[in-house]
Amino acid sequence: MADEKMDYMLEVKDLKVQYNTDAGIVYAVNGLDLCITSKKTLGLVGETGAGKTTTALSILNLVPNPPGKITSGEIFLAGKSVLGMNINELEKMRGNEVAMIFQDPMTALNPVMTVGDQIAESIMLHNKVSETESMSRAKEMLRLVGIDEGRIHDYPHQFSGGMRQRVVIAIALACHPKFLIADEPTTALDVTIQAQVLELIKQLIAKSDMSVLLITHDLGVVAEICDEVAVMYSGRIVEKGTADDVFNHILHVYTEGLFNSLPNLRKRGEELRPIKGMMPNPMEKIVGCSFAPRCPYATKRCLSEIPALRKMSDTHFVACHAYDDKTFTLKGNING
Amino acid sequence: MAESPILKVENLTKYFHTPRGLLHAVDDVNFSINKGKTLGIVGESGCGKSTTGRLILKLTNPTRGKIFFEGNDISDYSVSKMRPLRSEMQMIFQDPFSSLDPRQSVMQLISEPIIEYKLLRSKQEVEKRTLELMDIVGLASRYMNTYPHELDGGRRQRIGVARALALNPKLIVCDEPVSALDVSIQAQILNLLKNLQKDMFLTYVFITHNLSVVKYFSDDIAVMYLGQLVEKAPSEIIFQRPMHPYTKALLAAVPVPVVGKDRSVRQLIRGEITSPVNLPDECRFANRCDYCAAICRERNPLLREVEPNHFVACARVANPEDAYLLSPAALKP
Repeated sequence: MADEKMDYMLEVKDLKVQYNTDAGIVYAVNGLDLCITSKKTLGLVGETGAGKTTTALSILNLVPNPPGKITSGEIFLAGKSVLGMNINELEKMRGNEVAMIFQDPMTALNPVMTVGDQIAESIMLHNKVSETESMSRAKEMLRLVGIDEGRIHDYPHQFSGGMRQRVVIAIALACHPKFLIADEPTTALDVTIQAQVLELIKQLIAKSDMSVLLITHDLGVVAEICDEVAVMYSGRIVEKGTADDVFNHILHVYTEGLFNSLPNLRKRGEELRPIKGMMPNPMEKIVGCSFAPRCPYATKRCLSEIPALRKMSDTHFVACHAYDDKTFTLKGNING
Repeated sequence: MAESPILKVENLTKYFHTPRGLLHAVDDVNFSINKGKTLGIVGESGCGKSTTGRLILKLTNPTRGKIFFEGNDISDYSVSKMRPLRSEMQMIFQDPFSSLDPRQSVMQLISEPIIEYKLLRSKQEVEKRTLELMDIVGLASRYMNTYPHELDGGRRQRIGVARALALNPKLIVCDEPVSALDVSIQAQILNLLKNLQKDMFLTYVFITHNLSVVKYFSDDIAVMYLGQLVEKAPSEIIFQRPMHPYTKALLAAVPVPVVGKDRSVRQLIRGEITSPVNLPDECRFANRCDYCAAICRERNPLLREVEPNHFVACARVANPEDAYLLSPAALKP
């Protein structure tokens, strides 16, 4: 539908974020373009230092300043420019229309407040409701995330890790956000508990009209719940597409390397094949393609000119100069 | 014929006294490892896998049970009697951020065990050996005078590996050695450990919660739940035909990076690990198990050999044919 094309929940254009530290400038996000269509779940994948969390914080205008600074770019949430909002508008938006689930439920919760009060807090803050009303809605939220409502007066330390993460989810969803950012929501959990929490998130997404940005380093988690995938490398998107595009029709050589370095449960490989080399130093300003030093297809041009995201199909985008050659395909030799 | 194992534990047990009662950290665990092999110990937080690793190295003393290293019972060795053995049994820790002294340079960190154990006397020899170790683990010599905080996680973990190798050990307990690392770095460290094993004929006890990592790495796999082994078998067997309901659930819970028609439907287990304090005499997995029957509540099932080399602690699995009872199909009336 032509209509749906315009219906972006999130639109990020040429975002650049840097941290000014004593040791020098850290270039965390270097010209990032990203959009999420309404009601879709996008997985943002990348390794430590790729700039995933900085991107998430930028969307809520929460980049700690100083040392962080958004140096260029625009962010639109449901059509409104986030970077142009004043503090009142931001506070109205955060936790209400846009909510965030953090990685570590131990530090995301207040240890001296009962979980009920913590859920009710955001309901009261954003809605004109009485304390009793907000508490009864908090109970409802607990039920929704699979916690016995009798535990509403318990403190975070009385819950296990998985249960705490459920509480964090309950807080995030308490005001029925239109957009949810989940930053590594299951990374701190054990695998059987992770499976339960993922299932919960999946159900909650299906029940609501939320758009979701899921940040993770785990491709398995992405396969579990995402409609779309964006792969991030040193502060830029290198490949974006539907889950099927990115998992089954890989275009970028870094994506290929990422998949090949996974120890696979189904096949018992003889030797793992890590990508040669390391991520570039984020203190050095990148000229050209940031993956070029590790790329077997790199040419002179890659070292001097940043590749833009190019459209390869209606849904599939890649940032790589090699596709100037219409016949180019990956040869599967990225891993050593 | 069967060679004598380098490490063997018998009825290894560790209880901790807590205000709420007796905490069963490790309960009656038995296994052995032959030289040059890898035993993977898998389980979730709180299952006792790290305590098992610490017991093997006598970093904590067992409540009950015996540990044999190269045939000698070391379970009641004193600290001083253990000391010469320490050079033969080493450990690689999970977190390369907290297990390295931030005030020591790479050189100091790696040479510390060599100097401590007086393996080499002269400064030149120590330095030469340190550089050699750095080369073995793939650390460029230019990092000699850098400090851990200047290095990324993968390089820091390489320091940890070099420290463990410094005394030419025979056995290394690796406690979640790659859990703190990114996948592409994980692969590098796993390959390094595997190559070192080949070159130096090392024996590993590989402790992890990550099933894909143990599969890649281990000859034998032991699955732990609430302090006990629930299943033990050669690596391929565990993945081909897991028999204990917990092992099956654990395998099914791993998110698979596959999209499209090849995806299999996942089976979830309910509930969470129960408290390891004051455990009743029943199957410890019973509360979460879809296949729990009356017999499971009667007593805690012992590990038994269901087929050659395949041990399962489940009251409902006495031979391989029984395992089909424990499949979703069997649940339907």
